[in-house]
Amino acid sequence: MELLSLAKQVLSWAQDEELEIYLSQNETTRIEVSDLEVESSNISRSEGMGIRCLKDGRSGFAYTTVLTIGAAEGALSQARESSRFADQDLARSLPEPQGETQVELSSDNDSLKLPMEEKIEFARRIERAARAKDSRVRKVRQSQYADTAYQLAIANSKGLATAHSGTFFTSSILAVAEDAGQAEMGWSYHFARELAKLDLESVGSEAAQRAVALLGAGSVQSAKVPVVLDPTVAAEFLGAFVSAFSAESVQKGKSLFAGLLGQQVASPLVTLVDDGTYPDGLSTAPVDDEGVPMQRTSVIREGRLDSFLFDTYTAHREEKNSTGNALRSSFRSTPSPGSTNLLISPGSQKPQALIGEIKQGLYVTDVMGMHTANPISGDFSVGASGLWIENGELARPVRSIAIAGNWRDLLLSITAVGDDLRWMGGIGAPTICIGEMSLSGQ
Amino acid sequence: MKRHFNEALAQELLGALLAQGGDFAEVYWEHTSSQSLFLEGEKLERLSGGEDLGLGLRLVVSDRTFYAHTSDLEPESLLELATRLARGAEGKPGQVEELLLREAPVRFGVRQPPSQVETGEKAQLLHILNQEARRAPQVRQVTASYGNVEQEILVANSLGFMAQDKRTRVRLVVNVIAEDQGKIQTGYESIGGVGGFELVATGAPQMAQSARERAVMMLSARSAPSGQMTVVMAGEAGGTMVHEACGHGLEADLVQKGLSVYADKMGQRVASSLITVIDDATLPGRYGSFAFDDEGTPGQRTVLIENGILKSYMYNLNTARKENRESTGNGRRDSYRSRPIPRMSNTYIASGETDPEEIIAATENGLYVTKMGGGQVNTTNGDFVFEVTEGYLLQNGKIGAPVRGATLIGNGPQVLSEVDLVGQDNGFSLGVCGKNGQGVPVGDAQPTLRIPNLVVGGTEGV
Repeated sequence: MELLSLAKQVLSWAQDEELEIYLSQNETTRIEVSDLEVESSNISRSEGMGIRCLKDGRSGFAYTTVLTIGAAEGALSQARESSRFADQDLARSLPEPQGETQVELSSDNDSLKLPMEEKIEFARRIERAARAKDSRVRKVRQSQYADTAYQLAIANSKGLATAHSGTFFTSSILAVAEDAGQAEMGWSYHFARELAKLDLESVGSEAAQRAVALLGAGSVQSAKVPVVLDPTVAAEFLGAFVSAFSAESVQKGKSLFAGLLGQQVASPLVTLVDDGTYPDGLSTAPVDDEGVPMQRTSVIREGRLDSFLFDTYTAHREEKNSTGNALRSSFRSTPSPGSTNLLISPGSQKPQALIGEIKQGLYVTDVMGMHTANPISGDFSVGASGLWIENGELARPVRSIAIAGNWRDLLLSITAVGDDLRWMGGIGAPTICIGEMSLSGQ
Repeated sequence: MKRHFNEALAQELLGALLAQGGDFAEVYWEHTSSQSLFLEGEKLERLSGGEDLGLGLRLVVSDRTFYAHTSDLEPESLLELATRLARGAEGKPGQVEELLLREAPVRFGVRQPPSQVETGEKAQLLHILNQEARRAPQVRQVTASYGNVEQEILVANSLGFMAQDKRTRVRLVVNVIAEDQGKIQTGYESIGGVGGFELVATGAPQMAQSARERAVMMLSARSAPSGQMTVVMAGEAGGTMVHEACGHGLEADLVQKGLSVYADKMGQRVASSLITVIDDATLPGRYGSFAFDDEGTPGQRTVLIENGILKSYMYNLNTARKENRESTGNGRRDSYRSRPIPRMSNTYIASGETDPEEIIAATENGLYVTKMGGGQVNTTNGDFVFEVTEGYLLQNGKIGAPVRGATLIGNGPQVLSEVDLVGQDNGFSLGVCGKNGQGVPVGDAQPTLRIPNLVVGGTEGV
């Protein structure tokens, strides 16, 4: 059944309540090669719906993977049942229809239909490029090509009804370099909305280069030194602390930025933007996950905290408008504020020039244990590997060290921002330089 | 309640998968119902439930795996999908043995099935957590969540194995946020396991107290030291270290691809003779327990390292087949959406002989870890990290001032070789382990351990 028509059917059952139905359907093909042979080939079809029911400020939710009228009836009665036990919160309500944002969003349904053999060849090209880059690349894990087609529909009892669809393509690889009994790993990833724009060879060679660069790595003495984060690591840091910008975290006393609107929370070099309309971004869509038009929101402007990210509920609590940041991880969850395409605006300096100015410091190319960072207090302590900087040159590889600090201090002590913006999924960052950080080693 | 699915259809799908040959075919049916409740800001606000029904199809042709999953269980579309997968092979039809249902080796009792417990009673637990956790003026926010999962699986393969399993898991979590003079610290506790509501019915007040006390105490803690030092890990601290330091590196898929520092070390010394590491899916009530793994192999107890000597890796059917041996029952997946890969169940370091108090008294200076958080490992070079969420300085053999959270970094084989004291105690922790994007519930534990040299990633004393 067409998604929107099933949604409308469910809405016709609304009693004295607000109802919302969110439906999604996607199909992904994923191919992994190893030693140029297909190691695995996956076809995944996923579909489901989530139903939200609101009555007198009490909210309940239920989902099912079965897209039939009968299953929808079951989910609706479960959502109603759940709502009976919820505490009342009159700020809870569903959004009114507000139209859709015109976004630049390419799609490429033709490439999805390419024969399997051609898709296998894409994954092989990634691996070949990794091996060609350096003879010390001996093994690969997950040399992978994937394509996805998705469609989703959202409708609610206030008359909102919207549907959109799209495609994306990803390439990734983990390469292992070996030399003198030591093995090191390097990875790379890229995504695009059209196959023609997907990097294959450069993903392979970058992973190889990252692995080879770490061969022979050793530890260093503990010190406080300037630290340069490459764009992938900068994006990983930003991703770990995204929740600090959510209005929900702020309202619940879980954000270290609560009460700091308009104040200097980062170096003046830092401009942070959430842009649900970014052309061909991973999260770009006409509407967010509760049907509110996507927009561009300035979060930090030249170091000053400009805005938090709101969904309909958190906006109601402050008598504001949603910023179009309602997100769901899937149809299995209720929406809450999150980032769409979040980016640190690039500066004008080349990364080499940033490194060139450092007498002694660390260039970080990989971190380990980022999920242990505490987004509420801002404290982090993570394993790191990369290259030691000596007199502006990348002198030698290092690993088995840790870097630690606090997210707020990190933002304030950024001394330079590179021109090399790179997207890691929905998070984009350039190379960034941090004045000083604690490094633990021998 | 085998909705849309039965033995005859399984047999037919296996035949369709092997229509053009192949070495192995498998059908995995799953129905999962779950419920979760979430309290924050003193309000019970997110209540949700749902059901997930789907099927995974797998075909193995020499070293290649073809996998497909769908939640559309109409027999025609399942057969169409199986036929699409079968195109991966080129040859004569493969043999499907007659399906024979396997007996479960262990059964985990569920005294109070969560589906039979009133939602109101579950909600009550969260209110208790909230009230108990707020009994300190520094507490600013409390989040509490309850979740239960009832999963039914049926797996059948071309070797003729068929197994059915029903798994019930419950989990109760509290996170306390305390603040003092702009400084924020958090305290986290979770309980639960494989079993029914009885596993969480009475523990709420105590876990709320522990989480609250930790959050408040950490407000006065100084920053963790930075650099290399002796570390004593308490038995009660959990088992993240063993999970990262050797667990992942002993998973056969990584070993066979040469991506583990433990590859080619079978029968060799990889740890101090004080160290014995066991993976055991049959322990009652633990979070990583199961009667059958997700390929229908009975859950087992496997000695991985015995007195420092490497004895076994962890295998699923596919990795076992490559070495012409039996699976160790470690083939797991997060749902029908993923193919099974070797995973840990409950992994622990066996208790030793030293009194934990003696270990503390025998340590001149260092860090005493009483609670571990998450971790990660680079299996290729063996480097791993784990988070300390509660720790103290050790000074002259005595427990000193508390220190704020820090990550510890070490190298698996090196750390396990250097352990010089092993306590008589043991304490399990539960977690969700991620690998290749799949999360599965695991348990892990270790006794009190002393490691002479570990890098502490703090910010003090540089």
